[in-house]
Amino acid sequence: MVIDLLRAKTLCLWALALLTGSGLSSLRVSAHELNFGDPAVCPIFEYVPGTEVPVYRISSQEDVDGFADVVGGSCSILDGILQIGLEAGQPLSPNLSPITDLSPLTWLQEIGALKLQNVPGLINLSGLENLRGETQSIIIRDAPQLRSIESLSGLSGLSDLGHGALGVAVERTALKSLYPIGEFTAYDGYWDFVVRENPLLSDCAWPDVGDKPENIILRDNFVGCNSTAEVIKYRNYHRHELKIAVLPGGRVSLDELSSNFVMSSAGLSTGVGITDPQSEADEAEVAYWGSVPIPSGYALEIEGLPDQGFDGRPIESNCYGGVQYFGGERWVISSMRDDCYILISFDSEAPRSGSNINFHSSICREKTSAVPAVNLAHGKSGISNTGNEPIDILCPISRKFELGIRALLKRLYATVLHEMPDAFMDRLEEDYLAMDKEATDIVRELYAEVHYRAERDTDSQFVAGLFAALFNREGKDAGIEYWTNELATRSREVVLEEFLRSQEFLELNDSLWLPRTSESSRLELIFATEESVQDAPDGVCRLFDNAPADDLMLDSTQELEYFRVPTVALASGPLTYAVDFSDESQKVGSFVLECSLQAGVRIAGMTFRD
Amino acid sequence: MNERLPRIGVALLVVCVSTALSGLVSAEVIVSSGVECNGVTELHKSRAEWRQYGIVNSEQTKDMWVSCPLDRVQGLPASPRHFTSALSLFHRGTQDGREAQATCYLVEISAAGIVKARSQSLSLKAGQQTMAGFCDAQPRDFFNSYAFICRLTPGAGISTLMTESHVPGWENSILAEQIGESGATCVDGS
Repeated sequence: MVIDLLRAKTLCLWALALLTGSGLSSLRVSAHELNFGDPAVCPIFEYVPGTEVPVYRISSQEDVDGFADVVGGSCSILDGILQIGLEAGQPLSPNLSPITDLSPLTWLQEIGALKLQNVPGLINLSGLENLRGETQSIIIRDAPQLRSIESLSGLSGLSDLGHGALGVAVERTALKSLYPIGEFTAYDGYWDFVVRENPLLSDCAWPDVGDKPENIILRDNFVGCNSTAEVIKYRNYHRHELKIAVLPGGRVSLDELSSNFVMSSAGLSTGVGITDPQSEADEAEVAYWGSVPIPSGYALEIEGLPDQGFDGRPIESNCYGGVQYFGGERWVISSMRDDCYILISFDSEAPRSGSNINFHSSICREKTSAVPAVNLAHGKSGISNTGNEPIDILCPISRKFELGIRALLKRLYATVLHEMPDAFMDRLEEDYLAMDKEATDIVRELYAEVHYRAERDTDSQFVAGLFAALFNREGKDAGIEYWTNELATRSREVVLEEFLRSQEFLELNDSLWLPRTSESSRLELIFATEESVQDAPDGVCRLFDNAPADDLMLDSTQELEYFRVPTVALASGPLTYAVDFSDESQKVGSFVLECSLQAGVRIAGMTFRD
Repeated sequence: MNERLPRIGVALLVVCVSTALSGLVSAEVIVSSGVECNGVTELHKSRAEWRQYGIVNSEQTKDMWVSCPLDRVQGLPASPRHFTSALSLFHRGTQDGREAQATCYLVEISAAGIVKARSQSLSLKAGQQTMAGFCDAQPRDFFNSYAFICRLTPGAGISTLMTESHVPGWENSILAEQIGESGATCVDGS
């Protein structure tokens, strides 16, 4: 109805223009008065009801194609909300086509805000490449085929332009990455960041605001991006080179390289499968030369070839201060630092690290034997529900507790020396644990070992490393900035001593001889389907913390996490659900995962990092 | 914690790494759920019920025997570690309101079979949960493994399994200290 009115109004305008040039002129002047007479600003036809916020609505492909004509053909700035798509529940007229292509909008250079919703056929935002400057908000909802918003990379950030709420909302899309939103800046202290129900999303950095958004909703993004810690993780990475190593026995094919990626060494090449690379072909480097960071989740795709020996073992990488696992038979590599490598193993022994534990899903069992779960199949590819009804299963997940001194040493090795904890484990027993050294001396020795004072890490990287190694947490921006500034006048040695004398390190030091586990844990579960599942309900999983207590029912079992498994979405490939959670209580206990496994669904892998 | 470290009034760091404690640093406790336990035969499996809080005998009249495999980090062959283990037993309650009985054996298993066992029996009131420990066991062979074999009367169950490999001596075990603090009994596993 609104569009029809808009169209009718436009026709009237053209009719008036043909009949009376002066009449059109007066109407345009009327519109331009709102825009301070700037001819680049498009005329306004409509406002958001009850507000003074202009809105430009585009509901069909025909609207996209004819939008330039509607607004006059010579302007390039929309001083209001550009709304693309249908309102919730609004049907598309049968004589109109759904929006699939925004390329007729390349003339647009500035918009006040973007609202994209109910566009089931839209795959990317090609056509919006020429947008520049700031915008009030970016809202993208119910675009289940939308795979990239990279066309918005010309925008510089968010700013309060008087067009409603300030912020970002991305809901129910097929995006793997929020790039370029993570590159934006934002100038207002009160803005929203709502990212939920995106089944493939893994890279979800928010605009650089020096602090986090006021209102944050992160949930039901199946692959990741369900906590602020995950968002922050992606913020500051320099992404330049990836090294891919295929372990003996592995078979892998590098499907495609996105633009700006170049294969820089012999070994892997796109489109060619590598089998059992025992010799010089066991390692390859992919380099990226781009003026912007790698659009993560988009970088390159690696496909594991069908192989009888394949058992769903994950890909591992040394990034993020630990081991990052990817799952399924097709992997999209998320954003990575320039010192990342990726290990792909099939028949080979999977690398292990520190407290990371890989479980085979055969440890899972039916919840009760009262009704035997004859349809619960244990196979090399995981545990499957081969029947027609959901089955409730339980998966025990064990935990390791160790003395705080041991955990501190592991962190120092990972953060300061950049060594894999495997190598550390050998050295740990022989070197440090046999000594009666003070923790502070060990810290000083390790820092001295890498000649950190001059040869590595920028000042801010050095400070961030101190927070991670000594406090076991990420530093807040203000803290990192403060100490980075201090380094302008003080040496790194002096700053290190300040950290060692801090109250926080003193408190941590007091617990060095107490058993503890890390305060944050990560559980990753790989779900897959045997065949395409249509119209099946979602599965439901709950994670419990089970600790000994005097009273079994009241104190010992606590629900930590609840999440849905999108059964239908599994038809497009296996999905990894990652859950990060904190265990501040440090109770000596273990975890139990309870899942309602829908018919046809399989748990292909389980990894727990403590 | 304050992001900005206090610049004045910070006490000097004193790390109390005493010689007596230095042996503790290798200790590592593994905690797992009683869900890992299983009935020893198909008949006993049919009496089992697995819940998020562990395994429980759901029978009203018959006992259930379960087996619980235990994780053990051996250490180095030249310096094999001692083994301390514990489990948390509970009574979910029964219709007749009777107390439950649990008898658990820590068994050391070699390639030839069970080579050693220690046992402990407990009575449990409905809703009660308590620990039972086996401290400072010395494996007969570096490669031997351990398991708990338990007889559980109706309503009794196992919620948590705990193991630790450590240098010899109860005093060098984190887990032995935990068992002691909980007021539970730790049977000599040697």
